[in-house]
Amino acid sequence: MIHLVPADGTADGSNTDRPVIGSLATGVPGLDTVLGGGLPEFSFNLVAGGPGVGKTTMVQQIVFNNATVAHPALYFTVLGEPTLKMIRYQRQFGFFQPGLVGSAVRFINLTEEVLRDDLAAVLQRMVDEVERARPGIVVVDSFRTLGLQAHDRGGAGKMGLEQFTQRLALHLTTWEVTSFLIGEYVEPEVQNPIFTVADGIIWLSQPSDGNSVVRKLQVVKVRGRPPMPGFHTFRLTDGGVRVFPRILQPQKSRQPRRAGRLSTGVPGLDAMTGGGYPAGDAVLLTGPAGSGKTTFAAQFLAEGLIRGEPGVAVIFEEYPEAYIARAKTVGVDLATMIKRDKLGILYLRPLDLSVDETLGTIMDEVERLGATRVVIDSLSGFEVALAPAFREDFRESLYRLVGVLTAAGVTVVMTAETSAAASTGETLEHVSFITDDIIVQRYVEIAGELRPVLAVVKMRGSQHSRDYRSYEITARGAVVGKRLDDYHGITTGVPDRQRRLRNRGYPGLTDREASILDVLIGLREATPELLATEAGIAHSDIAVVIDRLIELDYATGAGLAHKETYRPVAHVDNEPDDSTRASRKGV
Amino acid sequence: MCAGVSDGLSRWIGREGCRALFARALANARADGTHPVLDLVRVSTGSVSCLDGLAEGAARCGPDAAAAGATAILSELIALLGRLIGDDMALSLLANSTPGLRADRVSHGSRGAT
Repeated sequence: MIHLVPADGTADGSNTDRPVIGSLATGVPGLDTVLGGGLPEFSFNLVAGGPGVGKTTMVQQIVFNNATVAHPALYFTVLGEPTLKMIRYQRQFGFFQPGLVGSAVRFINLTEEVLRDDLAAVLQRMVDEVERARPGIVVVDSFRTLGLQAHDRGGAGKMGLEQFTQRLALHLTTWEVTSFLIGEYVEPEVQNPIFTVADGIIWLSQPSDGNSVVRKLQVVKVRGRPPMPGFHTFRLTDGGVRVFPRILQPQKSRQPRRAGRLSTGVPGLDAMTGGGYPAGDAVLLTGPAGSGKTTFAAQFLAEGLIRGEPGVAVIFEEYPEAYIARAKTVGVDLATMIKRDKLGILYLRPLDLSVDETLGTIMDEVERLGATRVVIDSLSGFEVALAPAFREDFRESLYRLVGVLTAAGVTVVMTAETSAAASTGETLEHVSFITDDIIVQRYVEIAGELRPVLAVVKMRGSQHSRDYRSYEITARGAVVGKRLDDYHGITTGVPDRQRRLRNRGYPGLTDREASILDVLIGLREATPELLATEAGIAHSDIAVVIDRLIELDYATGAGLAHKETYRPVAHVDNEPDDSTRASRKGV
Repeated sequence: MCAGVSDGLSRWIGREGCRALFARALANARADGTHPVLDLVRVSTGSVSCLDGLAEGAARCGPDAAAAGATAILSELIALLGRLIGDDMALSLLANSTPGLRADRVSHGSRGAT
């Protein structure tokens, strides 16, 4: 009976001398994670799946990553794909090392033994080769062909497939061999002994959806450790197989949810947001085409460079060269950031991406650069780039993506396009729940021209501005301008110039300052924090307003229990109207 | 030498695969008619060696002609393997699968193995 040491390395006290099962690092990126920490050493494994799905490639990748001259890999070929062809194609992959073939990786053809219809002879040949070579790894390609041949030609009469399988497993384990049987199985065959005997079963498939095909991997079984459940996408690249685990492990090296704020890099926006984006937040920046979302995002990255905070831009809609060139037109030099290894640009346009693949690619780059700022530009481009099967689960996918990034302490700025006519909140409902912060850009028509404005709609845990402010995209980037004091009905897109009725009693004050004075009159006395809260403005903005009130003699400071407080100077009553306000200043 | 190469290759690509390789190599070696002795050589279907008739060729055309013919076949075999799986691996495999044959002593040219 096998006893395992708990994953955390602690013993339960009931059995302190339990043997530890070592792990074989497969060398296939992502696979060890899915397997729960690599393959158990000396295990007897089945790699199954339909033709062309990548079984042989994956196993050969494991072989070339582990075989040495001292502990070679024996690769038994049985009918199936001719060895010469297999080598010809497999050597195209980056993992294939021709210098190892014949010494550390030895191909042995068993066709003749199999054609003799004698599984006992096949087993004996394999055992002889294993005893002679003392391999660390043994592969049988294809095991299913072996079984079919025995069955079709009546070989089972001499030694049944079940007996053969059990004896083979016994011998290989005894010789401390980690083995892989490759089989073209479309679905588990209950009667087939291999499914019972195998210690591990890795199932590969490539389901289609419309014109799209995505390869998927499932660890159906692995004895001695819990694998990561579910289907994980994988891709055949020039380097071989790469698996994208469905659930990314938390990165222990990173501090989740750092305190503090990250400057947005856009003059005026830090004040609106209450001091910048909260570190580790997911920020959604929405707006119509051409509103400057990409510019805002690029400035966020550029600000990171100034502050020594590397970033990653994930783009879907334009090539990196075009993205870099466009940023340069507004004074953001992304090319230099890349040269200094402070910025990575990931162009993920292929239309058959899985979310896991996207996430894996982003996290690799974040890890490589130690990035704390990530821009995803844009969500609509991301959704289109996904394979159709994943688009259906876009919200869930985005939730996972954002969750993993922010849990790693990364601040994520995502852009999303809205229609030009959209007002605050529209078109956001399907993604807004994922985000901590939302900034909405839109156009409004003023005096016959379209002017961009923005508002901070949501900023979790922050005293943020509730103003609509204009902004401009200048040669030095985006700059937030003044509050649109003179207009109401901004959310309609066609605001009206409003009459300054409420402020006619407070000469020299803006509407906003007048409304804050009204609040102060109502409170009679207030600290800056209380006044800001009651007036509904950012704490960082209140000091400026108080200074103005004092300067124009509408308010004065007063001490109260060690706190700085302020009172209205010309206080008459708590419900001022225009006439009483006029009397306060004697005008 | 041919028998040794054949035996070694059969181990990893199977006897049928080995026969296929030798048949193509023989056909290529015969193509320009430089080695009449090869007309007496054929691919074996049963013996351990993939080639039959070399001994008969040596008796009829002389041992030097037979050796030159065998060399031409091996040269074509190595060239063919090189085209299929790469020269480096072809030479390495032949050296590994054929006792007594060293990779650094094997090369292939337009018409000659050494």
